[in-house]
Amino acid sequence: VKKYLSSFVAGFGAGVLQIVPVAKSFSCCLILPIASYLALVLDRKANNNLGRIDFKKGAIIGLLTGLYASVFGSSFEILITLITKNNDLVVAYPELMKLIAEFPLGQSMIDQSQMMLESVVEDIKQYGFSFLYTLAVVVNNLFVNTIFGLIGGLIGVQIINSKIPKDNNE
Amino acid sequence: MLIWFTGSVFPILIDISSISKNVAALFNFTYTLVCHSDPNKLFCLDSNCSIVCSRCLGIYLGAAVTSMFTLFIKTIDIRSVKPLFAVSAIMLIEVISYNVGFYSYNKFTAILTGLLFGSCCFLYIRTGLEKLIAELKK
Repeated sequence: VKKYLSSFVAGFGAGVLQIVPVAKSFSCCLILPIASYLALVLDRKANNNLGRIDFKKGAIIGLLTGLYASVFGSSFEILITLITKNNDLVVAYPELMKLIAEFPLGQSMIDQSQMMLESVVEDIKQYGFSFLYTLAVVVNNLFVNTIFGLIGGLIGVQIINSKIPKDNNE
Repeated sequence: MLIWFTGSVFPILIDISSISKNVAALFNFTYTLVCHSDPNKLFCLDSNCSIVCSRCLGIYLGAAVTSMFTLFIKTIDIRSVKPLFAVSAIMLIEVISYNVGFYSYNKFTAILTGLLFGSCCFLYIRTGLEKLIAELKK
């Protein structure tokens, strides 16, 4: 666990930023790769490693950062929804209903989609929890964060290694 | 990359009503995971708009075009990260300038800066993946 503590710290930071209103717009494309890079920097400092980093290590740290970010990000999102009984979905509900109605789908499918959305929003308003919403948040975060974490890890290794002479493999 | 880019502009390329409705819904859902898809920032031709915003469209277009150009190059080894920082800075300056109100949102500028960033970023991702695979094979 100690070996990948840097991923935990950076993942936690990224997870927190994922629920901050303005910052969360940049969560996938900007925050996650930066968090992976910071995890690599932290790992080097913690292990007092001044040499070049393996791409394998960069990929693992990036993936773990994404994984931790998705766990924390999803947990905070679900917890805040549970406490406030409100979230972005509830706020955007009227607009989403209009959007679904305008979508080029069959009437039966539009009705089913609207009913499903309505039940999710009702559950959130009443209990602060919806299984479908929770599942969607967890799966989305897991999918997106791990991919962008991996990308950040791979690019982060190149940024760090570019500052180190090639023969330095301490 | 080409498949991913084509997916992001499929409402422009083909008549949306002619394809399976489930597929259309799936496409929209998939791309909204990685883009805010603000209706005011979508790239539109006539009345058909892309699924992702202009900047993301530029990024995916750049990555797709670069992936096609580099398809037959066996290995890419970029040592310096200065090009990546340069294109990131250009995009960042454009985003900040728009957000602080220096100028109004321009879809073509967004596509152009995204295109530069996407092209450059793809090369670094490919280099990273190539070196990762080489290390795993050892």
